[in-house]
This record gives sequence, structure tokens and C-alpha cells, in this order.
Amino acid sequence: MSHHYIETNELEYTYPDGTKALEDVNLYISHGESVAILGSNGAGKSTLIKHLNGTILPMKGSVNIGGTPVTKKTLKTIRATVGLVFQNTDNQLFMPSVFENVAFSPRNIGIVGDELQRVVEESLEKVDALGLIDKHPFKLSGGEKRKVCIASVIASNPEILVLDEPTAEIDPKGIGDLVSILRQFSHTKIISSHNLKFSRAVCSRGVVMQEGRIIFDGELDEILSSDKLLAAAGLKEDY
Amino acid sequence: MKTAQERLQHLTAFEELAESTFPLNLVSPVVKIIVAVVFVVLTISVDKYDIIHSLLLTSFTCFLIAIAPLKVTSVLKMLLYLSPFVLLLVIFNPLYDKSIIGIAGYQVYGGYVSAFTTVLKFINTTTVSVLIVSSTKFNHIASSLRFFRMPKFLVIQFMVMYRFIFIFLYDIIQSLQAVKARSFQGAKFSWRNMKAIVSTFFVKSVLRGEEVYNAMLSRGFEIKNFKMDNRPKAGDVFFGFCSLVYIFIMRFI
Repeated sequence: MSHHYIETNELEYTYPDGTKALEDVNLYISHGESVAILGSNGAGKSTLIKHLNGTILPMKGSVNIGGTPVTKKTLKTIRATVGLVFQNTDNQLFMPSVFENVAFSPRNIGIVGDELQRVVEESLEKVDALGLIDKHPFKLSGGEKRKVCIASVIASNPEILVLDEPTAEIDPKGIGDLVSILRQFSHTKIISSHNLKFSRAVCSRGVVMQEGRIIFDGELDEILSSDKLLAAAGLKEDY
Repeated sequence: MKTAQERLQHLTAFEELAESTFPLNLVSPVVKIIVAVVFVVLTISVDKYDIIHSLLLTSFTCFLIAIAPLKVTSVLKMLLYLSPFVLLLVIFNPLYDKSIIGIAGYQVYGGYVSAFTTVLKFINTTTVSVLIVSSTKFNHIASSLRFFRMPKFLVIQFMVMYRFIFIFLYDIIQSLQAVKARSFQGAKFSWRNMKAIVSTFFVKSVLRGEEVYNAMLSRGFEIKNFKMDNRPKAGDVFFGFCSLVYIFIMRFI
């Protein structure tokens, strides 16, 4: 499994309005690592994360997933390898029922019938949400929506799981459940978050971003013990 | 004041019914649609003076009510809401149609008979359609449209749009409540606010659309690869066959 590393080289991205979101981002994440990407709002976390499965393509520099460069031509392979859970759950749960949402990915790789039913049930079981299978997404709580989003991504069995602000709109119990679910996932995890306790519970390595640049890459505990880094990242442990 | 959640809860009542496990819910939507279409066509084809066949076809409606999740009172309430339209249509029948016809040895004006059969047709067709919809999840209705050869991209559009209706309604209700909560003009309606809300929704819809499309692509969406299950099983075929035989007997006996 060691071939599924992530590598970004001198990555840069500027939004159409001229906002520089990423600048000279160099990152290497080996397979099986759990990495928290930390930083205040507008630091470039979401933009970086969207580059990892080709939702945004690099303007300058490159992104490699297991040696495959992220380009228009390789998007199919990249998206099968990297599962991205978006920040806004409503935008990700676009089908009319939980079953249909989780079944969306497997259907795209040609799974139908009893096999599809099995895959959907297994995925929901992994996130402890099998009871929601027939529900309408509107009727789910924030935590339940997040669980279904994760199930809908792991249903296609990705090698790398990327989560953008997974603790948004979830209560403390929901966050606890999410920690248990993510700990079960043995592959690479990359999590963008403001929540330090959550990040520490799931990840060992932390990458701090500020104004589109990586200003620290190392042990998460080191970040938490440094007031200077915390201030630079716009983070406070108690909040 | 009702909360946005409560208002939407009301809107999702049909969805809840579709999730229940009544016998009609278990039948394939493809079969239900075929049966409903045949029933509606045969009901409409009944002669305007033919009370007997209209009444006989009503027995099928009663059978569906018995196996559907919707309560009789709910059906009656819904018919009551819609009745002004049909009553407006038939109210002048006795005035225009002065023909005399014989029923069971009695001489009656054809206008009254045709008004009665039209109301029966309205009750039968509307009730059956509502029962079918209330017992079927929207995604099942959508996927069964593929069975009838509707283009795949349209079916997927329907499914996504249906979900979006709820998201947008929720947004709209919340925005209206926010406007109301910060309004110092009492209950006065303000076009200025409405213009701002509507224009914001246009922008929001574009952004949401883009995000949803990205989420679909992230999960490997390619229209040619997307498959839907819509094949009826043996039990569904049996239900459909028996229903159609019964409807034809009641219509042509």
C-alpha cells in the first residue's frame, strides 16, 4: 500500500478575483498517515484539500497521488483513490434518500442489485448509521449527515480519505462518534479542522497554514505546546 | 409561530408515508405506474351515463385505500380541497343536458347522471394517483422512469432537483424568518426585502449547483456509467397482472 503517497510540489493557486489561496506549498504524506491541516479561516486549507482529488487543478506546481499526477486525464483514477468529504453536508447529500446517496459512488463504478445493497449496508454499518438507510437527508441531524457523507465516500473504498472541516455543525457527542469512526479507517487520512482536540484524537502529524503557505509541518503535540504556532494558526485550544 | 423545521416537516409528510411498510409500498413503482395509467385511462373512457361501471371501478380505488399508507380521512380531506374545481365543471350539467335516460326502470335527467359519473371519475383517478405517489419514494419513481426509457440525464436531474427543493425551501423559510425577526415594520410586506432575498437565492443557487456538481464528480460521476435498479420482481408482476385483470373485468363486464 506504500504507493499511495501524496506529494505536492511548489503548488500555487489564485482565485479568479485575484485572491492568492496557495503559495509554494510543498507537502509529502506517506500511506497510512493521519494528518491534520490547521489554520484560521482563509488560510488555504480547503483550497489545498480540493487539489488532492482534482476538484481544483493546480495553476502552478503539481500534485501527485501515488505517483500519478493530478491532471484532467487522470481524474477518474485520482477520484477513485481519494475520497473527499466536503464541508457542507447538504451539498454532498444531493440524492433524495440516504440509500441513494451512499449508492451513488458504487453505481458509478457499475455496482447494482444485491451487491449494491450489500455495499451500501456495509458502508453505513461502518459509520454506525445503518438505521438511517431509508431516511430523507432533510430529516438527519448534523452528526447523522456527516456520518452519511463519510459512508457515501467510503462506499467506493478509497485509499485516502480527505475531510474538510468534519466537525462543523456537530455536537460534542457527534464529534466523539466521528473520532471512533475515523480511527477505524486504517488508510491515509487528511483532515482540515479548527478543532484541536478532535485533530489530536485522530491525527499525529499537523500542518499549519497561514495566508496560503505552510508555516509548520511536524508533530501535532509540538503545535499544541507552542503559543507562537497557535497564534500564527489562529487557534486556541480551549475553543 | 411555526419554525422552519415544523413547516418543512409538514412538506415531507408524503415522504414519511412512502417509507412505511404497507403492502402497496412494497410493490414495484414500475408496476404501480402501469396499473395507475391503465386505471385512469379506463375510468375516463367510461360513458358519461354509465353509473354501473363507474361504481364498479370505484371498488378498485377502495381496495387500494385498504392497502395504502394514506388514511381515508386524509384522502377525503384532499378530495375536499380539490372538489371546487370539479364541482365548477359539473354544476351546469343538469342545466345543459336535458336528455332523459332510464336507470333501473326510473326516468332521470342525463345531466344529473353525467354530473355524478364525472364526480366519481374525479374521485377514482385522483385518489389512485395520490395513493400511488404516497406509497412510493421519489427516488423509486425517478428510477422507474428509466424503465419507460426516459433519458438518464433527465432522471438524475429530477432526483437532484427533488432534493434541492427541500434545501431551498429550508433556506427561504429561514431567510424570511430572519427578515421578520429583524423587521420593525410589523407584518408589513416589503418588496425591497423580497428583491434582496430573491437575488441572493439566485446567487446561492449557482454556488450550490457548482458545489453539488463537484461533489458528484468527486464520487466518480459519469452519466454513462450510472446505473439504476428498476426491474420488477415476480411478486410485483403478479400484483400488476391481477390488478389489470380486475380493472378490465370491472370496466367491460
